[in-house]
Amino acid sequence: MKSFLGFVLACASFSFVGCGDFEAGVSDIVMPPFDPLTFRSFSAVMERRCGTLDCHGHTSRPLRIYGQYGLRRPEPAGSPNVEDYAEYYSGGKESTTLAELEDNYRSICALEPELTGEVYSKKSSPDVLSIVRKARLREKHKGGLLWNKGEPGDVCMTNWLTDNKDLSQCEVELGHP
Amino acid sequence: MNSSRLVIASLVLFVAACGNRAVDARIEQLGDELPGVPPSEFHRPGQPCILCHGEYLRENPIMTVAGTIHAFPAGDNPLPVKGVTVRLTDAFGDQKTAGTNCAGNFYITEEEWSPAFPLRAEIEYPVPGSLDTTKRVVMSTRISRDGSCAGCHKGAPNQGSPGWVTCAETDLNPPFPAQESSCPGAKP
Repeated sequence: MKSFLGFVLACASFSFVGCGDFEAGVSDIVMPPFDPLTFRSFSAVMERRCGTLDCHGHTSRPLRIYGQYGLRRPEPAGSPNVEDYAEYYSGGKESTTLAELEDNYRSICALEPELTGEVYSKKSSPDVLSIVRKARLREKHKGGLLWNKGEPGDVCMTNWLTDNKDLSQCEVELGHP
Repeated sequence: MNSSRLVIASLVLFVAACGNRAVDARIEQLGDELPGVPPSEFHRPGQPCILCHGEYLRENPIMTVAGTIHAFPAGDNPLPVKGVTVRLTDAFGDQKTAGTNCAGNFYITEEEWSPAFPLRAEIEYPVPGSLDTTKRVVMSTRISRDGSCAGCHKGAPNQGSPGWVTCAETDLNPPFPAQESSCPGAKP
């Protein structure tokens, strides 16, 4: 009887701990804003360099990237997100949709949200972010080296992360074969 | 005595840890060999070669890039094309070419070339009915890590695949020649 009471008390205390109020720990994070006009340039670089079907354009991989030439966001026929459903396939003529851009934006921001917010607020250098370091191969990356610090792809990424509106380097990066 | 048990237990755990159930499941899905087409350069066209001939199973020969080239999109039964040149360029600019056989298959072994990904790929196919005339098709994205064409290119185009690797978007006039009947696995 005594041990049963102890068991009940232990369960009760675990459930109390498990139901803790996390509200106090939740805080808003200031992120780079989602502006489709500017984000599309950066997303295009991510789609080409990261979002191929055998890398981040694969459903099993973290940092999932959707795009016209890679994985398409699952959409049923008749979806209002798609203009020409017949061309909505990997490599089809339907360009990256707004819904895909939004999902890419969420993928990138949600990778390291607090750090991304700090980088955006200029409290930290972009070098702290895995997404920046992996592309430079300063952190283990199965996909290898995408660009070195200061090269067009790197400038494209860090400019978007730090709210620098000059995304001309994204176009330069896309011009590479 | 206890130490030998520990060694055996460690070995068992080590061997068990080396498997990859995800890859095993994908290999299982490939099914058996076709009757009359034993393992050779002609077997399993359209399947992801590197699953078995890669660093995981290391079936001989070990390949770094391999695949099958078809004529044009045709559902589940595309026509393979012989004599296509596949030209690959790796991240350091090193180039390698390989040709397709009568099953449409090509492969590059690890001994021949161990490229640094990502790769740029293009194919050059013989234009039907035109002697010595070829046409070049460049892949629009890079190959980032999977040396099997069929890792991404499989079946009809869909939201997760651009479909088979093909020379043309439709059949041409004159049409692509039929597969040689003497080719192992050729459909009548």
